[in-house]
Amino acid sequence: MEHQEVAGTGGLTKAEAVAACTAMAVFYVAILYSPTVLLRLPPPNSFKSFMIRRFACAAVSSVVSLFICSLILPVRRWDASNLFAVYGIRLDHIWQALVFPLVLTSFMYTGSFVRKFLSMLQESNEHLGDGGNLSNFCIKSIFSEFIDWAVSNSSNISSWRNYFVIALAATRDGIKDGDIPVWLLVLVLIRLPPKLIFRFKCVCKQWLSIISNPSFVRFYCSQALLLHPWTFISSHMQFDGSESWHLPDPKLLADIYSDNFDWPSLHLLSLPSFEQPYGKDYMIYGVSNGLVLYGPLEYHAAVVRLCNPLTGHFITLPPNVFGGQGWDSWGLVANVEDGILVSYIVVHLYVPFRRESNKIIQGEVFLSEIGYWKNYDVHFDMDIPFDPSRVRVYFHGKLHWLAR
Amino acid sequence: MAEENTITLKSSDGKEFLISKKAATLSETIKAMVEEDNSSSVFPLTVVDSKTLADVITFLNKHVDCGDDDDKKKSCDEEFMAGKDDMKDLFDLVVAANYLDVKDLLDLICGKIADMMQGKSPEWVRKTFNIQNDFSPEEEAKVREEYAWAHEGVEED
Repeated sequence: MEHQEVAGTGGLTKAEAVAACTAMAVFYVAILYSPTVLLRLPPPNSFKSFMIRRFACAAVSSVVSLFICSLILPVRRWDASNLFAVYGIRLDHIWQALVFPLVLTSFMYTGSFVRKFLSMLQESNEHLGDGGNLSNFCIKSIFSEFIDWAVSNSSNISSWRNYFVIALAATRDGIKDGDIPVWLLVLVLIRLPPKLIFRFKCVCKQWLSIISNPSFVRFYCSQALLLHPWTFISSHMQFDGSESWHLPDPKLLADIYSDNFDWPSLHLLSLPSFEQPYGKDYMIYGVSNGLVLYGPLEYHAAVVRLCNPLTGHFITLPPNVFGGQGWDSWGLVANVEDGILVSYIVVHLYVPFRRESNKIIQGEVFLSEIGYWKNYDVHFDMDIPFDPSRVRVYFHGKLHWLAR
Repeated sequence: MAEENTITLKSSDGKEFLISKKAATLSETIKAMVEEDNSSSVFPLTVVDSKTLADVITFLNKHVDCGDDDDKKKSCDEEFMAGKDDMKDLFDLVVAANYLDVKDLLDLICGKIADMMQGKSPEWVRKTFNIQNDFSPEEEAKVREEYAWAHEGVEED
């Protein structure tokens, strides 16, 4: 409809033409922002996808512009010369409409072209000095360079852009994207308390992969012992020992200690919680060389885990035999070399509430080398009163339960 | 005599700095250069610009004056770091310290950067270090959820 009306009037007024051009320019800019603003797409996650999106937008706006042009401009006959004329490509205007703009754009690339040409000339001169055959060498090198250039450029989205759109050199203040070398990142990260390390895992994929890397964790653990000598473990737990108590709300502790400069040596960590039906509260049975032995507070001794609170990695021990109706006491010896857990021993002493004989203490031992629980009945000549709150001590390579 | 005890360091932008040999050789890199080439007195440092080199030289001179006195060193370091809050400058300085192999300066700047990050959010880190977030929203939410406790008590930017 519109096409026929416009064709009927025979052309556009100057004002209409200017308005149409302005609208087209505004439309072109607007469409670049349409994916995020109008379509509510998430921001592009890499430079490459950003450029691909831009190209798609530019292509859409070009096609739409061509279409609208054909609607508002008088297309009288559907032959090639007439169609070209509608878009300003006319023999009598070839200089103004085609050659001048292209030449102006090409000035953008003169610098790099001249530089490349000069370096090639220099190269060929050197080669000539060596006594080579100039023309042969030159043709070969130009040819191979051209192929290299074509291949590398066609695969590089951002250089595509340089040949279509005027390049704006991005001069940003401060550290540029991806400029932080890994060595610097590691040196800074090992100085941060564990809580921040876990928090910064979501900065970007590179940080996540560095922080999750086992060799970083080992390095961090070895340094953390020097830089943060005390690490505070909490989150709904109960200590096993001479007396037990509940610690206050972990959030409160975090606010007080975790990032507080006055308490630089206290840092809050949490242990991975148990799934249902075990509940959130847990009890710590033993600590050795940075590893923690713990189990759910309810369902006592039903599940026992050995965990590295810095990494959150844990091993669930196979089910033990004793448990339930009785008192018990645990011991852990972890053998760690260079931050790697080499072996460990878990000792579980058990006495039923209804004790048959005061001369026997039952025990089970888990050795990581063997991989299963081994039972022992320890017989004594005299009565041994069993007190589960008794402190155990690791000393000279052995676990000791102190008698009163 | 004095000339023998001083050397000239030349920055990447061609400025020359006179420094005592004793201070300069706190840098392991310069120490190796001097030991290798005893005859020359001008050493070009092609990757350190004049602004950063001036800072490094201030640091080296201060540390030579302090000798082995750790308390004095500490107050010197505090004085040196005062007002150095621009991440770009710190970044230039730490790269220079690494290149010149000055361990005390490297530790000092890394510690400073770590202090600046205390209590900050991942968004602050991205903005400050110009890091592009390459997680999809779902991936980021998953990592955040896994370590939800670590995101408590974040300072407002």
